[in-house]
Amino acid sequence: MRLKDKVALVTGSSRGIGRQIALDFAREGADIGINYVNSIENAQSLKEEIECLGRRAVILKGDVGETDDCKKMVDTMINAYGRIDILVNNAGYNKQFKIWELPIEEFDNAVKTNLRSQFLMVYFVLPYMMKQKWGRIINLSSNHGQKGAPDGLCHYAAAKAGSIGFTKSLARELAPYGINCNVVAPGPTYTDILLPLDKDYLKTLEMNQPLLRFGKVGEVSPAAVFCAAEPDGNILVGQVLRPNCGDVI
Amino acid sequence: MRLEKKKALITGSSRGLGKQIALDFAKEGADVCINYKSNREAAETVKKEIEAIGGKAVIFQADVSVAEQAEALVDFAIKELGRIDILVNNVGMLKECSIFDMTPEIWDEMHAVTLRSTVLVTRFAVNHMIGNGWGRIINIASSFSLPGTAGGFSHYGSAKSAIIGFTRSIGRELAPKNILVNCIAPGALNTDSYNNLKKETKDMILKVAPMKKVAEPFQISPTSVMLASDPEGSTYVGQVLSPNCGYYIG
Repeated sequence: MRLKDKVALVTGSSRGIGRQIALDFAREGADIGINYVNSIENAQSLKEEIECLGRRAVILKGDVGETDDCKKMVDTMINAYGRIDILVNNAGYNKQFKIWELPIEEFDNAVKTNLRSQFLMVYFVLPYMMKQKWGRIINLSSNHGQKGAPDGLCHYAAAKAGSIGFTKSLARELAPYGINCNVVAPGPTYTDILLPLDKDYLKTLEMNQPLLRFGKVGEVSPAAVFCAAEPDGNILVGQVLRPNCGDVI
Repeated sequence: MRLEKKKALITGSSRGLGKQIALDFAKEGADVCINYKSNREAAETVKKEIEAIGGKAVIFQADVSVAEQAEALVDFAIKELGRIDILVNNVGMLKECSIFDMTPEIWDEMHAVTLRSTVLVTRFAVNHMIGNGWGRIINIASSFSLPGTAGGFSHYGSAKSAIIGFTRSIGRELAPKNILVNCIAPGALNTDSYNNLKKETKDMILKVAPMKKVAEPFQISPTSVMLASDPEGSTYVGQVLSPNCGYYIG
């Protein structure tokens, strides 16, 4: 039980990688804050699964792009648990636009929901971690943020790259206060985002990976556990973990 | 028990980080082949510690910078364990030498012990690993090589950076066969060879890192368990993982 009695807030945890991280954390003994924006049913069913594992879960409805929502979520967590030990900034979203067709609002939106959101959550969570001189901040980035995205995701890649610079700086500033900050940058992963894609196109993408496949969410989530656990993540400071099937070496 | 039924060979595992990795692997259920060069007693102690927790360990003496001995080690591990699932190339040498004092012999020794040993053992092990459909190779590099470290580390930095280049290339080459090759790049680590460095060097290293401490082997070894496990390590290919107190953030 590598996270026994730790309290973790995972944004965007009603689906995909965030959901798996929340489940992995709960299996390792943590109590969870589940954040969702649209799908209350998914959030509810995750809450039930976590409670079946014998851990607690609170549901936090909120759009991480909105300042007030972020503040409300953290307040709800503190009311429920009294503290926050681990913050996983996983919520994000992407929508494809070739650069020559990219509306300005969509660029702003990508930065708002993928990058500014991470800052906002840190902003509201940090006082609690500083007070107890222990914290783990895990920000999700992406292979696209590291090497650039080929298919109409330059705005998403900009935000995801920003997450890396932000987190490394946080790491330098906060390491002396017992708060370790790191990035998990997955590669292509089997989630709902892939559903609308053409099967043959998907196969071509898979064959481009050294591992000849994409990753499963259960192969990405352990990286977050690793960052959060002791002693696994004790001296991990400002690093970018890449469970990505070899997409970025 | 994240490594249940796995068979692991760890070079240079009588002391320091290699020993801790061997112990962690055994705790997670792996059978271990311990390798040492000169300190048989220390190797026996590791074996006893593993057996005390109900694990299995065998010992083989070899200087893995010598091709015949590297091959003999691999053959022994195959014979005693049945196969090699996980190979940890931990043998290396941390020593300072200013470029102005560097001789070809000092350069060659550093590369033989630190780089060539990793390549030799890997070369012989992959012959056996290739048919298994599952394998993990973990090379121990160093965060000192990445930004360059002032003092006398040009030969050490060269050898450790070469390990990273080697890892990335064979990572790509072997991934399609489900043999995943990655490396771990620690920073300052509490071992005899680190403690023997000049005081000014150690002070400078601590000054650079945001977290001002010298790590213990048990704070590095979980990274090796992670890389060796399923599903935690299943999608790492050619990566450099750096639990290093922030010494190098790159």
